[in-house]
Amino acid sequence: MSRPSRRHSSAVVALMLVSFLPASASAFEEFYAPAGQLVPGSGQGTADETVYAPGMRFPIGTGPAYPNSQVWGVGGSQGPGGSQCDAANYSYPWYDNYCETRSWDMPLCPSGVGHQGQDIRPATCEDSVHDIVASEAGTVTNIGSYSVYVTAASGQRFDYLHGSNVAVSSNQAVDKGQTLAKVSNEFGGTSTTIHLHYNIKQDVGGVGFVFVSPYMSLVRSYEDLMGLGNEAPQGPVDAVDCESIRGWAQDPDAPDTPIEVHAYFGGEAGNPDAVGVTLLADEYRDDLCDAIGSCNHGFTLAVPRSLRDGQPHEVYLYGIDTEGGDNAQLQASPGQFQCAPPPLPSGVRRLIASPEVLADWQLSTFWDMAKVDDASLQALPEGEPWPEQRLVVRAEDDDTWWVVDSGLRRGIDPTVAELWDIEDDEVQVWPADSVQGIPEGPPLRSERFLVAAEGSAIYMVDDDVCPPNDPLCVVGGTTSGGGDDDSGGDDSGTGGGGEHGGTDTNEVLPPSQDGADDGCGCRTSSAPATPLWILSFVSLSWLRRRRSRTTTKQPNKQMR
Amino acid sequence: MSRSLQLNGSRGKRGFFALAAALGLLVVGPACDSGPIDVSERAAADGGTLPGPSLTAPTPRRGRVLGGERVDRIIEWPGERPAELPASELVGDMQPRSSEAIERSPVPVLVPPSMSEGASVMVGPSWFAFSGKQADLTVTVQGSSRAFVYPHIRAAEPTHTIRGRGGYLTRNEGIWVASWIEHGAAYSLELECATPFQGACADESMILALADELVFVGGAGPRDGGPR
Repeated sequence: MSRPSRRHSSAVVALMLVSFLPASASAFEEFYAPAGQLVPGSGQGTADETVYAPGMRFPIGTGPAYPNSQVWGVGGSQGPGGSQCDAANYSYPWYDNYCETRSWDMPLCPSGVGHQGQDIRPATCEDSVHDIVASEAGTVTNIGSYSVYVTAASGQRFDYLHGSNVAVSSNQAVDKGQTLAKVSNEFGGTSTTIHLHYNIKQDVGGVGFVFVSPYMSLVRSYEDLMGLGNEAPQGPVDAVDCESIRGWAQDPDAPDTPIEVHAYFGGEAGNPDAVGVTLLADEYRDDLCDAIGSCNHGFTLAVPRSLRDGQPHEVYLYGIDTEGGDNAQLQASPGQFQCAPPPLPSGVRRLIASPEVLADWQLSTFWDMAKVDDASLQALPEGEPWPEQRLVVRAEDDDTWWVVDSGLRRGIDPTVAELWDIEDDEVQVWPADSVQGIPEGPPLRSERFLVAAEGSAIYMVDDDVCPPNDPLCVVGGTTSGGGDDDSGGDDSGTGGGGEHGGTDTNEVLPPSQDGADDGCGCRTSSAPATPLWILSFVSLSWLRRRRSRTTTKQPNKQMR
Repeated sequence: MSRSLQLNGSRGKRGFFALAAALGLLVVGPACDSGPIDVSERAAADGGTLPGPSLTAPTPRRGRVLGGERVDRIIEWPGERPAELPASELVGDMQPRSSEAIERSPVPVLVPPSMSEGASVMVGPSWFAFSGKQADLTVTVQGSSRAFVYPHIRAAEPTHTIRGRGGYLTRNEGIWVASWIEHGAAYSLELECATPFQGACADESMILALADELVFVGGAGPRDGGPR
């Protein structure tokens, strides 16, 4: 196993001593290598610092514990020779091994394949001594030959592999922290080291069920377990109103370092019904420079559109300790706000068929969505479903960006691109005549406005778009109520009920004339003939919403 | 100076867009109990003017939702055609509480008939889980009607064909895992062998066969006359 990186080498000795120091010891070096930094030679990690399971319990009963690679560690099949009990395996810093080299699909890994979880060694190299405990309360939904799965109410699943002395049974309700088994090396006769293989599995928009990185969730929960305390962050909430939520926060242990602020809407931290957001308090404020000796600690948080509903809402704000100690609720927290609903923009409502669409367009139901009553929703005519996948192109001889939508190209102003989180690396470069061959539609709006009524689907309020040559498309038409042929609903590709209007078949689009408005606010151009494959591609991207989508792909050649 | 929020993932860091602070001056709710630290004493001692916040109000920023945004999937329940009717006769072979669980499932419950004897179905607010054992095999099925949406995870292209649809196939510590989307819900099927990497777990054929074998056995059905 490689030695800890240089930045941690001086900390290793200190950290070894920390285990024996009171929890109130002063600041010390980090005990973990960054997310995505795998043991050299073990593959390509992902620098994903997301805490996928905030507030979870560390899955081993007591510390210390040592997440690292059991394959590339000392005594592992790919590591230096020696014993699994070598001191190098039982020391800091931690090493991430999510996405470590493996052969099978892992959509969230940079290479598309990799290790699905994290190996964790307990405090000592002893079999069946150390407790494996539940990270969250839930139901034991499986006990296999060497696996125990616990599914939380949220649907998130936590997997505990290779344990012995399983202490729970299938369909049993368990509490957070309840003992499930002992850390061991159960693997059906296959050789492995004494360790807990730990997975977090979620239904993730854009992918479906997938194993997410547990690393930073383990870091945060370990900090809680080990009581890594020091001086708590400080700062006030200056104001809470319908313009913003403002204040500042500083950790005295790191006075020049901007810290994160967590804001919880609808309850305190730890309340399962509360929605938490994180924001870096790094805004420059003159008044802080002398007062606290450092300037960049302000924050100004927007008020989410989904909470602008005329109802009172509370927001709880916490400064996040840089060293994993207790997070302090800021002075004057919680705050309250009550904001009138925003006026609905004009236009049509376009169905967002699935979380996959939200994911691909980077849309947020928390920030972008207004909740309205059913009458207000129905007052908006229904338009074409929102494109399932975002396709942004530009001509090879032009810098103008276009999003392809329902067979039309819609211009994207640079400031609008930023609003929609569209960046250079997403833009496909096409031959100029191919781009020009796509009829032009209305530009992409400068505001992402989602809308939903209670229990309804989610819609984007947008301009009406008419796919070229669609006889059913009528600008401002009403919903026909007709559904797709694919009522089986594969791949959530239709969402049901999202068909554009046009029950009046007499309102067929007039033949388009060069440069003339063809009846839908769209203009055709006198562009040179577009290669057939481009037309086919553009048509297919529209037609996919009208047909059952059965994607047949050949299995990838797997890495060996 | 504002700094872009950090986002993670292979696509690199992005900045959230800054909302134009074009809202009115409506102030609702109690004011804060204490404002910024009183710097007047220090200012007086220094003989200088009292420092204050920057003249230009910062643009309100969005934060990243902790633990992901929860978004309900639009479930399309199997219809009335004979091929889509639930194979409810399988339920009788399962553990006693499974029948009641299936009736409450917010997701169409899919199970492998060959593994249903003695199996168990459990449900949560937005999911069901099936667990069945035969000899040295353990099979689990999960279904979910509520997704976690993260700003750094976009739609990924499927890499395998599962039940005639795009999906993913992986092997986690010898346990085969297939995942796909059907009926608008997210599904996962897992096959674990007492002796990993051998027999039924030697390659992907068994899990793909199990996936093809899955049948609909029931569920709570659409809410409020939703899509069927």
